[in-house]
Amino acid sequence: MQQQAQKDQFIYLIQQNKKLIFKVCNAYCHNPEDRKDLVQEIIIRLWQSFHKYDTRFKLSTWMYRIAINTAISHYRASSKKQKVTVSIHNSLIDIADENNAELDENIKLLYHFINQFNDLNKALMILYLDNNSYKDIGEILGVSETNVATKINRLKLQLKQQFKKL
Amino acid sequence: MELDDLKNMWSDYDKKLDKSLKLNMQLLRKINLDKAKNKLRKLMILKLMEMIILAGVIIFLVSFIYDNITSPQFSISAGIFAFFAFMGFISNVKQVAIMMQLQGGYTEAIAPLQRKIEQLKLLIVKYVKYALLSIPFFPIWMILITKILFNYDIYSNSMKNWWLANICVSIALIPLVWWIFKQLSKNEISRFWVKNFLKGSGWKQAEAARAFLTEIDDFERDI
Repeated sequence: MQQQAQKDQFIYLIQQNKKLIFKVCNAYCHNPEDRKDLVQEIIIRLWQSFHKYDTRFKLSTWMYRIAINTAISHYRASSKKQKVTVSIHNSLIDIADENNAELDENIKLLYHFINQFNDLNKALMILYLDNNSYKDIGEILGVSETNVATKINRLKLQLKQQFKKL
Repeated sequence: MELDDLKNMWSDYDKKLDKSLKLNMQLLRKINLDKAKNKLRKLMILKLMEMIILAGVIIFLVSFIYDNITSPQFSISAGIFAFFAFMGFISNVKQVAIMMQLQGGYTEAIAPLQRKIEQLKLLIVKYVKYALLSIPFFPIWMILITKILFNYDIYSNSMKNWWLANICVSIALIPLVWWIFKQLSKNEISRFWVKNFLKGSGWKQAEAARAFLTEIDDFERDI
Protein backbone atom coordinates (compact mmCIF):
# COMPACT_ATOMS: atom_id res chain seq x y z
CA MET A 1 0.00 0.00 0.00
CA GLN A 2 2.79 2.36 1.01
CA GLN A 3 4.75 1.27 -2.06
CA GLN A 4 1.80 2.17 -4.30
CA ALA A 5 1.48 5.57 -2.64
CA GLN A 6 5.19 6.17 -3.21
CA LYS A 7 4.82 5.14 -6.85
CA ASP A 8 1.88 7.51 -7.33
CA GLN A 9 3.90 10.29 -5.74
CA PHE A 10 6.77 9.47 -8.09
CA ILE A 11 4.56 9.48 -11.19
CA TYR A 12 3.23 12.88 -10.12
CA LEU A 13 6.82 14.11 -9.81
CA ILE A 14 7.64 12.89 -13.31
CA GLN A 15 4.48 14.51 -14.63
CA GLN A 16 5.53 17.82 -13.07
CA ASN A 17 9.10 17.63 -14.36
CA LYS A 18 8.73 15.94 -17.73
CA LYS A 19 10.10 19.04 -19.47
CA LEU A 20 13.42 18.70 -17.67
CA ILE A 21 13.81 15.07 -18.75
CA PHE A 22 12.73 15.85 -22.30
CA LYS A 23 15.22 18.70 -22.71
CA VAL A 24 18.16 16.70 -21.31
CA CYS A 25 17.34 13.74 -23.58
CA ASN A 26 17.04 15.99 -26.61
CA ALA A 27 20.44 17.52 -25.96
CA TYR A 28 22.28 14.22 -25.52
CA CYS A 29 20.50 11.88 -27.93
CA HIS A 30 20.00 12.55 -31.61
CA ASN A 31 18.58 9.21 -32.53
CA PRO A 32 14.81 9.04 -31.73
CA GLU A 33 15.03 5.34 -30.79
CA ASP A 34 17.93 5.97 -28.44
CA ARG A 35 16.05 8.92 -27.00
CA LYS A 36 13.11 6.70 -26.03
CA ASP A 37 15.48 4.37 -24.23
CA LEU A 38 17.22 7.26 -22.51
CA VAL A 39 13.89 8.68 -21.24
CA GLN A 40 13.07 5.27 -19.84
CA GLU A 41 16.51 4.87 -18.28
CA ILE A 42 16.36 8.29 -16.61
CA ILE A 43 12.92 7.53 -15.15
CA ILE A 44 14.17 4.21 -13.79
CA ARG A 45 17.27 5.85 -12.27
CA LEU A 46 15.06 8.50 -10.68
CA TRP A 47 12.83 5.81 -9.21
CA GLN A 48 15.83 3.87 -7.87
CA SER A 49 17.05 6.97 -6.05
CA PHE A 50 13.62 8.30 -5.10
CA HIS A 51 13.61 6.82 -1.59
CA LYS A 52 17.09 8.25 -0.98
CA TYR A 53 16.14 11.79 -1.97
CA ASP A 54 17.64 14.21 0.53
CA THR A 55 15.16 17.02 1.18
CA ARG A 56 18.02 19.38 2.08
CA PHE A 57 18.69 19.64 -1.65
CA LYS A 58 16.37 21.21 -4.17
CA LEU A 59 14.26 18.69 -6.04
CA SER A 60 15.41 20.17 -9.35
CA THR A 61 19.10 19.79 -8.34
CA TRP A 62 18.49 16.11 -7.56
CA MET A 63 16.62 15.55 -10.83
CA TYR A 64 19.13 17.38 -13.00
CA ARG A 65 22.02 15.43 -11.46
CA ILE A 66 20.41 12.07 -12.14
CA ALA A 67 19.12 13.00 -15.59
CA ILE A 68 22.43 14.48 -16.81
CA ASN A 69 24.61 11.77 -15.22
CA THR A 70 22.42 9.11 -16.84
CA ALA A 71 22.46 10.92 -20.19
CA ILE A 72 26.26 11.27 -20.21
CA SER A 73 26.78 7.62 -19.23
CA HIS A 74 24.14 6.43 -21.71
CA TYR A 75 25.63 8.55 -24.48
CA ARG A 76 29.19 7.41 -23.72
CA ALA A 77 28.17 3.75 -23.67
CA SER A 78 25.93 4.01 -26.73
CA SER A 79 28.08 1.75 -28.92
CA LYS A 80 27.92 -1.10 -26.42
CA LYS A 81 24.69 -0.12 -24.79
CA GLN A 82 22.63 -2.68 -22.98
CA LYS A 83 19.08 -1.70 -22.39
CA VAL A 84 17.97 -1.48 -18.80
CA THR A 85 14.64 -3.03 -19.61
CA VAL A 86 12.90 -4.13 -22.75
CA SER A 87 12.87 -1.80 -25.74
CA ILE A 88 9.72 0.26 -26.01
CA HIS A 89 7.80 1.13 -29.14
CA ASN A 90 6.18 4.28 -27.85
CA SER A 91 7.87 7.14 -26.14
CA LEU A 92 7.16 7.87 -22.50
CA ILE A 93 7.38 11.59 -23.13
CA ASP A 94 6.45 13.07 -26.47
CA ILE A 95 5.40 16.30 -28.14
CA ALA A 96 1.75 16.24 -29.09
CA ASP A 97 1.50 19.62 -30.74
CA GLU A 98 3.74 20.27 -33.73
CA ASN A 99 2.73 23.89 -34.37
CA ASN A 100 4.89 26.98 -34.45
CA ALA A 101 7.38 25.99 -37.12
CA GLU A 102 9.57 29.08 -36.73
CA LEU A 103 10.19 28.41 -33.06
CA ASP A 104 10.98 24.79 -33.82
CA GLU A 105 13.53 25.80 -36.45
CA ASN A 106 15.33 28.14 -34.05
CA ILE A 107 15.29 25.57 -31.28
CA LYS A 108 16.63 22.93 -33.64
CA LEU A 109 19.42 25.32 -34.54
CA LEU A 110 20.14 26.03 -30.89
CA TYR A 111 20.24 22.30 -30.12
CA HIS A 112 22.53 21.86 -33.10
CA PHE A 113 24.99 24.38 -31.67
CA ILE A 114 24.69 22.97 -28.15
CA ASN A 115 25.47 19.54 -29.57
CA GLN A 116 28.83 20.80 -30.69
CA PHE A 117 29.86 21.36 -27.06
CA ASN A 118 31.41 18.55 -25.04
CA ASP A 119 29.25 16.60 -22.56
CA LEU A 120 29.93 18.85 -19.57
CA ASN A 121 29.58 22.15 -21.42
CA LYS A 122 26.34 20.85 -22.92
CA ALA A 123 25.00 20.31 -19.40
CA LEU A 124 26.18 23.76 -18.38
CA MET A 125 24.35 25.40 -21.29
CA ILE A 126 21.08 23.58 -20.67
CA LEU A 127 21.19 24.50 -17.00
CA TYR A 128 21.89 28.12 -17.89
CA LEU A 129 19.11 28.32 -20.47
CA ASP A 130 16.73 26.73 -17.96
CA ASN A 131 17.30 29.78 -15.74
CA ASN A 132 19.18 28.06 -12.94
CA SER A 133 21.32 30.31 -10.76
CA TYR A 134 25.12 30.04 -10.97
CA LYS A 135 25.10 28.64 -7.44
CA ASP A 136 22.63 25.89 -8.40
CA ILE A 137 24.54 25.10 -11.61
CA GLY A 138 27.75 24.81 -9.57
CA GLU A 139 26.02 22.45 -7.14
CA ILE A 140 24.64 20.27 -9.92
CA LEU A 141 27.92 20.08 -11.81
CA GLY A 142 30.27 20.00 -8.82
CA VAL A 143 32.27 23.10 -9.73
CA SER A 144 32.64 26.57 -8.20
CA GLU A 145 30.29 29.46 -8.90
CA THR A 146 33.09 31.57 -10.42
CA ASN A 147 34.03 28.69 -12.68
CA VAL A 148 30.40 28.48 -13.83
CA ALA A 149 30.31 32.22 -14.56
CA THR A 150 33.55 32.13 -16.55
CA LYS A 151 32.52 29.11 -18.57
CA ILE A 152 29.03 30.41 -19.30
CA ASN A 153 30.44 33.68 -20.64
CA ARG A 154 32.76 31.74 -22.90
CA LEU A 155 29.99 29.46 -24.17
CA LYS A 156 27.63 32.37 -24.76
CA LEU A 157 30.32 34.03 -26.83
CA GLN A 158 30.78 30.87 -28.86
CA LEU A 159 27.05 30.60 -29.43
CA LYS A 160 26.83 34.24 -30.44
CA GLN A 161 29.55 33.73 -33.02
CA GLN A 162 27.80 30.65 -34.35
CA PHE A 163 24.54 32.54 -34.81
CA LYS A 164 26.36 35.47 -36.41
CA LYS A 165 27.71 33.18 -39.10
CA LEU A 166 24.19 32.43 -40.26
CA MET B 1 20.79 36.93 -32.91
CA GLU B 2 21.55 38.44 -29.49
CA LEU B 3 22.18 36.46 -26.34
CA ASP B 4 18.97 37.71 -24.74
CA ASP B 5 17.12 36.34 -27.75
CA LEU B 6 18.56 32.93 -27.00
CA LYS B 7 17.09 32.92 -23.52
CA ASN B 8 13.78 34.28 -24.76
CA MET B 9 13.69 31.62 -27.43
CA TRP B 10 14.37 28.94 -24.83
CA SER B 11 11.71 30.37 -22.57
CA ASP B 12 9.16 30.30 -25.44
CA TYR B 13 10.18 26.72 -26.10
CA ASP B 14 9.63 25.94 -22.44
CA LYS B 15 6.12 27.40 -22.59
CA LYS B 16 5.39 25.43 -25.69
CA LEU B 17 6.54 22.24 -24.01
CA ASP B 18 4.23 23.04 -21.10
CA LYS B 19 1.28 22.80 -23.43
CA SER B 20 2.34 20.09 -25.80
CA LEU B 21 4.47 17.62 -23.86
CA LYS B 22 2.56 14.47 -23.04
CA LEU B 23 3.54 11.86 -20.53
CA ASN B 24 2.40 8.42 -21.55
CA MET B 25 0.85 7.43 -18.22
CA GLN B 26 -0.31 4.05 -19.45
CA LEU B 27 3.18 3.10 -20.54
CA LEU B 28 4.76 4.54 -17.40
CA ARG B 29 2.53 2.41 -15.19
CA LYS B 30 3.26 -0.62 -17.36
CA ILE B 31 7.04 -0.39 -16.97
CA ASN B 32 8.23 -2.43 -14.05
CA LEU B 33 10.33 0.19 -12.34
CA ASP B 34 11.56 -2.25 -9.70
CA LYS B 35 12.91 -4.73 -12.19
CA ALA B 36 15.76 -2.55 -13.40
CA LYS B 37 19.07 -4.35 -13.33
CA ASN B 38 21.82 -2.98 -11.17
CA LYS B 39 24.88 -3.76 -13.25
CA LEU B 40 27.18 -2.08 -10.78
CA ARG B 41 25.99 -4.25 -7.89
CA LYS B 42 26.57 -7.39 -9.97
CA LEU B 43 30.07 -6.23 -10.86
CA MET B 44 30.76 -5.44 -7.21
CA ILE B 45 29.65 -8.92 -6.11
CA LEU B 46 31.92 -10.41 -8.78
CA LYS B 47 34.85 -8.29 -7.64
CA LEU B 48 34.23 -9.16 -3.98
CA MET B 49 34.23 -12.85 -4.89
CA GLU B 50 37.47 -12.35 -6.82
CA MET B 51 38.95 -10.62 -3.77
CA ILE B 52 38.00 -13.53 -1.50
CA ILE B 53 39.48 -16.06 -3.94
CA LEU B 54 42.68 -14.01 -4.38
CA ALA B 55 43.03 -13.57 -0.60
CA GLY B 56 42.68 -17.36 -0.22
CA VAL B 57 45.29 -17.91 -2.96
CA ILE B 58 47.73 -15.46 -1.30
CA ILE B 59 47.33 -17.11 2.13
CA PHE B 60 47.78 -20.56 0.60
CA LEU B 61 50.89 -19.46 -1.35
CA VAL B 62 52.51 -17.85 1.67
CA SER B 63 52.09 -21.06 3.65
CA PHE B 64 53.32 -23.02 0.60
CA ILE B 65 56.46 -20.86 0.44
CA TYR B 66 57.01 -21.45 4.17
CA ASP B 67 56.69 -25.22 3.72
CA ASN B 68 58.96 -25.31 0.65
CA ILE B 69 61.49 -22.67 1.59
CA THR B 70 64.36 -25.12 1.01
CA SER B 71 63.22 -25.89 -2.56
CA PRO B 72 63.79 -22.68 -4.53
CA GLN B 73 62.02 -24.01 -7.65
CA PHE B 74 58.78 -24.09 -5.62
CA SER B 75 59.26 -21.13 -3.31
CA ILE B 76 60.34 -18.74 -6.11
CA SER B 77 57.48 -19.92 -8.37
CA ALA B 78 55.00 -19.45 -5.55
CA GLY B 79 56.52 -16.04 -4.74
CA ILE B 80 56.01 -14.82 -8.34
CA PHE B 81 52.47 -16.20 -8.40
CA ALA B 82 51.74 -14.58 -5.02
CA PHE B 83 53.01 -11.25 -6.36
CA PHE B 84 50.54 -11.33 -9.28
CA ALA B 85 47.73 -12.42 -6.96
CA PHE B 86 48.59 -9.57 -4.59
CA MET B 87 48.57 -6.99 -7.42
CA GLY B 88 45.20 -8.35 -8.53
CA PHE B 89 43.90 -8.13 -4.97
CA ILE B 90 45.03 -4.49 -4.62
CA SER B 91 43.42 -3.59 -7.96
CA ASN B 92 40.18 -5.25 -6.81
CA VAL B 93 40.25 -3.30 -3.54
CA LYS B 94 40.57 -0.04 -5.51
CA GLN B 95 37.76 -1.05 -7.89
CA VAL B 96 35.42 -2.02 -5.05
CA ALA B 97 36.23 1.24 -3.21
CA ILE B 98 35.13 3.28 -6.26
CA MET B 99 32.05 1.08 -6.77
CA MET B 100 31.05 1.66 -3.15
CA GLN B 101 31.27 5.41 -3.74
CA LEU B 102 29.07 4.96 -6.80
CA GLN B 103 26.43 3.02 -4.87
CA GLY B 104 24.48 6.21 -4.20
CA GLY B 105 23.34 6.07 -7.82
CA TYR B 106 23.57 9.10 -10.03
CA THR B 107 22.65 11.61 -7.33
CA GLU B 108 26.17 12.97 -6.92
CA ALA B 109 27.39 16.14 -8.67
CA ILE B 110 28.13 15.48 -12.34
CA ALA B 111 31.88 16.19 -12.75
CA PRO B 112 33.07 14.21 -9.66
CA LEU B 113 30.73 11.29 -10.40
CA GLN B 114 31.75 11.04 -14.04
CA ARG B 115 35.40 11.18 -12.93
CA LYS B 116 34.84 8.15 -10.66
CA ILE B 117 33.14 6.21 -13.46
CA GLU B 118 36.04 6.86 -15.84
CA GLN B 119 38.61 5.99 -13.15
CA LEU B 120 36.83 2.69 -12.60
CA LYS B 121 36.95 1.92 -16.34
CA LEU B 122 40.69 2.64 -16.40
CA LEU B 123 41.30 0.40 -13.38
CA ILE B 124 39.46 -2.48 -15.06
CA VAL B 125 41.62 -2.11 -18.19
CA LYS B 126 44.76 -1.91 -16.01
CA TYR B 127 43.71 -5.15 -14.32
CA VAL B 128 43.63 -6.88 -17.72
CA LYS B 129 46.98 -5.32 -18.58
CA TYR B 130 48.72 -6.71 -15.49
CA ALA B 131 47.14 -10.12 -16.03
CA LEU B 132 48.77 -10.12 -19.50
CA LEU B 133 52.19 -9.68 -17.92
CA SER B 134 51.88 -13.06 -16.24
CA ILE B 135 51.70 -14.97 -19.57
CA PRO B 136 55.48 -15.40 -20.15
CA PHE B 137 55.76 -16.96 -16.69
CA PHE B 138 53.82 -20.04 -17.79
CA PRO B 139 56.71 -22.54 -17.11
CA ILE B 140 56.63 -21.34 -13.50
CA TRP B 141 52.88 -21.98 -13.32
CA MET B 142 53.52 -25.51 -14.53
CA ILE B 143 56.05 -26.16 -11.76
CA LEU B 144 53.67 -24.82 -9.15
CA ILE B 145 50.46 -26.46 -10.39
CA THR B 146 51.97 -29.93 -10.80
CA LYS B 147 53.45 -29.70 -7.31
CA ILE B 148 50.22 -28.49 -5.69
CA LEU B 149 47.82 -30.78 -7.57
CA PHE B 150 49.90 -33.92 -8.06
CA ASN B 151 52.78 -33.42 -5.63
CA TYR B 152 55.08 -33.94 -8.60
CA ASP B 153 58.37 -32.12 -9.15
CA ILE B 154 58.21 -31.39 -12.88
CA TYR B 155 61.27 -29.17 -12.63
CA SER B 156 63.62 -31.95 -11.48
CA ASN B 157 62.00 -34.80 -13.40
CA SER B 158 61.63 -33.28 -16.85
CA MET B 159 64.21 -33.47 -19.58
CA LYS B 160 66.56 -30.57 -20.04
CA ASN B 161 65.50 -30.08 -23.68
CA TRP B 162 61.84 -29.92 -22.74
CA TRP B 163 62.60 -27.13 -20.27
CA LEU B 164 64.79 -25.34 -22.77
CA ALA B 165 61.95 -25.36 -25.31
CA ASN B 166 59.51 -23.98 -22.74
CA ILE B 167 61.89 -21.27 -21.66
CA CYS B 168 62.50 -20.29 -25.30
CA VAL B 169 58.74 -19.95 -25.89
CA SER B 170 58.48 -17.97 -22.69
CA ILE B 171 61.28 -15.59 -23.72
CA ALA B 172 59.78 -15.24 -27.20
CA LEU B 173 56.49 -14.20 -25.61
CA ILE B 174 58.05 -11.39 -23.59
CA PRO B 175 58.42 -8.85 -26.44
CA LEU B 176 54.89 -9.59 -27.69
CA VAL B 177 53.33 -9.20 -24.23
CA TRP B 178 55.42 -6.11 -23.53
CA TRP B 179 54.37 -4.60 -26.86
CA ILE B 180 50.66 -5.20 -26.10
CA PHE B 181 51.21 -3.79 -22.60
CA LYS B 182 52.83 -0.63 -23.98
CA GLN B 183 50.14 -0.21 -26.65
CA LEU B 184 47.43 -0.46 -24.00
CA SER B 185 49.15 2.33 -22.06
CA LYS B 186 49.20 4.76 -24.97
CA ASN B 187 46.75 7.62 -25.33
CA GLU B 188 46.94 7.60 -29.10
CA ILE B 189 47.50 4.71 -31.47
CA SER B 190 48.08 5.87 -35.00
CA ARG B 191 48.35 2.58 -36.88
CA PHE B 192 44.98 1.28 -38.04
CA TRP B 193 45.80 -2.44 -37.78
CA VAL B 194 47.13 -1.98 -34.24
CA LYS B 195 43.89 -0.23 -33.30
CA ASN B 196 41.83 -3.07 -34.72
CA PHE B 197 43.98 -5.66 -32.98
CA LEU B 198 43.55 -3.98 -29.59
CA LYS B 199 39.88 -3.09 -29.94
CA GLY B 200 38.63 -6.01 -27.83
CA SER B 201 41.27 -5.73 -25.16
CA GLY B 202 39.87 -2.64 -23.48
CA TRP B 203 42.21 -0.12 -25.07
CA LYS B 204 39.33 1.69 -26.76
CA GLN B 205 37.46 2.10 -23.46
CA ALA B 206 40.66 3.20 -21.74
CA GLU B 207 41.38 5.74 -24.48
CA ALA B 208 37.85 7.17 -24.22
CA ALA B 209 38.09 7.20 -20.42
CA ARG B 210 41.41 9.05 -20.46
CA ALA B 211 40.09 11.60 -22.97
CA PHE B 212 37.00 12.22 -20.86
CA LEU B 213 39.09 12.55 -17.68
CA THR B 214 41.11 15.28 -19.42
CA GLU B 215 37.85 17.00 -20.36
CA ILE B 216 36.70 16.80 -16.72
CA ASP B 217 40.05 18.21 -15.53
CA ASP B 218 39.73 21.13 -17.93
CA PHE B 219 36.14 21.66 -16.90
CA GLU B 220 36.92 21.70 -13.18
CA ARG B 221 39.85 24.05 -13.60
CA ASP B 222 39.02 27.67 -12.72
CA ILE B 223 40.30 29.32 -15.89
